[in-house]
Amino acid sequence: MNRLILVIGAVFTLGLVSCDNDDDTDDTTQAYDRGPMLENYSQNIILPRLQDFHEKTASLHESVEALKQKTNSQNLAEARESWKQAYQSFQYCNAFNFGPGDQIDGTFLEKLGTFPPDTTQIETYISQNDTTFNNFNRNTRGFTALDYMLFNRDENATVQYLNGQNRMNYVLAVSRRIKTVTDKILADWQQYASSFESNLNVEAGSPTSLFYNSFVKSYEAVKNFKTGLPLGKRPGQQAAEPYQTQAYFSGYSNELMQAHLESIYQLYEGIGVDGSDREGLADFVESTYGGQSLAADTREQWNSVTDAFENLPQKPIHELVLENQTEMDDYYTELSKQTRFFKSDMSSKLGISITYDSGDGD
Amino acid sequence: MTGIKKSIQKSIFQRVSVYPLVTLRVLFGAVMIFSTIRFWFQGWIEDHYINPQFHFHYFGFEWVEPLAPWAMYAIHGVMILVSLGIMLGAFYRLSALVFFVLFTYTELIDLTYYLNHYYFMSLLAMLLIFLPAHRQLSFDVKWGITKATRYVENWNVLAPQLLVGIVYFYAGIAKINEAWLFEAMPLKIWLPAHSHTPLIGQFLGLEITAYLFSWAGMLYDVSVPFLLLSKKLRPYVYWVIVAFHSMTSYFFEIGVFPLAMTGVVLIFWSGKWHEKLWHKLSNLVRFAWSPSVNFNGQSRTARKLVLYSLAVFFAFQLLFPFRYLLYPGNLFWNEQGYRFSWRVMLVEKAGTATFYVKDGENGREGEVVNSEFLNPHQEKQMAFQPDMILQFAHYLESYYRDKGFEDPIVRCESWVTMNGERSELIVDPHRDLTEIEDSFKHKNWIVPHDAENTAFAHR
Repeated sequence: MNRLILVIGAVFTLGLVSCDNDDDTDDTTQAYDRGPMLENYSQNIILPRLQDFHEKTASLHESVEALKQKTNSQNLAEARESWKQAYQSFQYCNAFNFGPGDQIDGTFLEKLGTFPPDTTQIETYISQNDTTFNNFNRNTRGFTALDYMLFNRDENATVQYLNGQNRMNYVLAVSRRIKTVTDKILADWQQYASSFESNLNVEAGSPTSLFYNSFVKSYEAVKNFKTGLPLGKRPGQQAAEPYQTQAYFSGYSNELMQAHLESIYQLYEGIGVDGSDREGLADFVESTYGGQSLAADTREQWNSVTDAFENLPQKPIHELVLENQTEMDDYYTELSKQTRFFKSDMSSKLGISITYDSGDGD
Repeated sequence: MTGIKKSIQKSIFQRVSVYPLVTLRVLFGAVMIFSTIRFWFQGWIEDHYINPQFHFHYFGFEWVEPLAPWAMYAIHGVMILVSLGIMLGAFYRLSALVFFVLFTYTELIDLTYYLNHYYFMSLLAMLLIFLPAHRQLSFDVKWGITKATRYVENWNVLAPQLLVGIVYFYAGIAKINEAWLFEAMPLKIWLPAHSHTPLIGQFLGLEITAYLFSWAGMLYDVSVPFLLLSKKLRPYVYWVIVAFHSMTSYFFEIGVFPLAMTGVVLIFWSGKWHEKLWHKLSNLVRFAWSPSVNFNGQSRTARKLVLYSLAVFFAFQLLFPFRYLLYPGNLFWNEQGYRFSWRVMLVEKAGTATFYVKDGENGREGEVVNSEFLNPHQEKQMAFQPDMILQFAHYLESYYRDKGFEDPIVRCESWVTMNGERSELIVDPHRDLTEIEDSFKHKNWIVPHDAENTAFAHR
């Protein structure tokens, strides 16, 4: 027995000695410290992005209040502008659907970002003067409802349209709801930040896993919902469906898509609102075995995505899907190629668990 | 020849203490109570059996479907009850039978959740039906349902020992492959993810640690069943077992398996050891020792039946895992003959599978969003397992036929990464999968691993 202990001891000592030697060599990967990465995400990206969005939703609500006070074209122009600003800012918060962003009554994105609007239902609520939002018709509120109500008609017609008491009530209720939802997530995140930053696990439910999953979903939303659906890429769709576009009425979809793409890239690289590149998923990937080449190819593919996007004429997506199908198809193909880099290649390299279910034991 | 046969016969039917079986019964019941309650509280009855609109079936068990939600909950309730029956030895054989049937049924519902240790539990439950583990310290004895005994025939203890031995040994020899031993894969990927672990965390990022763990794991699995046969080494080996399983349990999300194994291996301990243990324990809980009845040997025909049944059961256990030899190609990539063979945690695989559906050759092709049909676990498992890809393709065929497609053509482009390598296509993206039927035959529509797959370049 003593001999056995001796052997085991010898093996471990040997192991430790060779560990020391390995410290100096380059090809040995040091485990990645996720602490700075999580802190960067929380302090330099998520919190400032939410703060910015919070300010934009406050001014959106203010301008809608002014519009209610005095429903004229000048105030409408201001409300429209602040809606654009807020929606733009929201694109950078698209992936925060975990922790405080994932509540029992839905995710942050579902509450504010569902599109396209159900205009018939919106008009029904308006005629009933129902602003309770006590239902699950998420396509009757959020940014999409304002897109319809503020942009469906030209300026004068919109002023006319909004001059009904109920209609303006509804617009105001929507902007108030956007504001309250945002106030809450910001406040909750300020509470949550420290536990997000300090839990370095990678199991299902850990901050790294939650963030990563939400990131991938946000990316897939660009491909499947913002591009694929209006382009008619689902089985059974016989043609492009322009109405499925985000911000169909304002025609602001191109700018929003660009912002969303930029936000995905910044999240992947760990680029903060101040523009400086700190620790992010890309650095985590690079720290793994063979991670350098994966990160390089991921960036290369991403360049193809943005090239294909920039190749599109500066038109709203709902026009592009009808008038520039070839270019849109190219863009969609590049997005499709990107999926595996973000989805399976990355999670596999990082050892992140995606689901809670038990694995095979040993 | 007849001499060997006789001595084998003799050793199989010689009398040994019943107490190892009592321990086995109690621990198995307790672990299954815990496991089922845990399953329930994780919300998995809902997630696994009730919510999904589609289930992946085991080949040959396509008819197994989940029942109504209340029935699924009732089944788990009954499983807890009969586990308690097994543990306490109350209506023991009936409990073991019911447990085996229900547990195996729930496992057969969806291939997604296949785990080797669930298969092991199922086999052990089947074995327990036939083992007289209730003939001491049980309610069945107390209530006079069965007579107490101090001895049972040796095969009753040998069979679970052999089963446990096979699990370890086969898990061990499965690790004897190039990737595991010479590239330390997939541990090289999995261990650094745990670098925040106190004390040992800093070592987990080191390459040498992955090699150390790989080799130690292989040696452990291969040798444990033999080391357990040595009476002298057994107490020391047990601490190694506890340490090993605690470690895997800490690092990996593998549920109750480590707990189950650290309990079940006690079947290797001597009858005397178990007797002493139960003597102490029964004093503690004031459960009276039952008067022992003399040991009666069985009739010749009964013995023959036992022998043949054991031979068939274990021949299957020993041979079935080797069926992979009948298939060409890379086992870890193709996964033909992979399951039911104690290949545990051997490979890190993940994939992104995209399905395209077209109505006839001239139809407009559309791309399926998998998450609209599958839960995340199903989607993840399906993406890298060719037989599951095929099943989902057939499901999409019938789904879109119901939607009015006349002749749905379904193809799949799935990029799979194995052990951190760059992704490759796993199935021929040009094949109409609706025209392929699953079988035990080699799947020639799998793209071989490391194939020069320029022919399968993206689109």
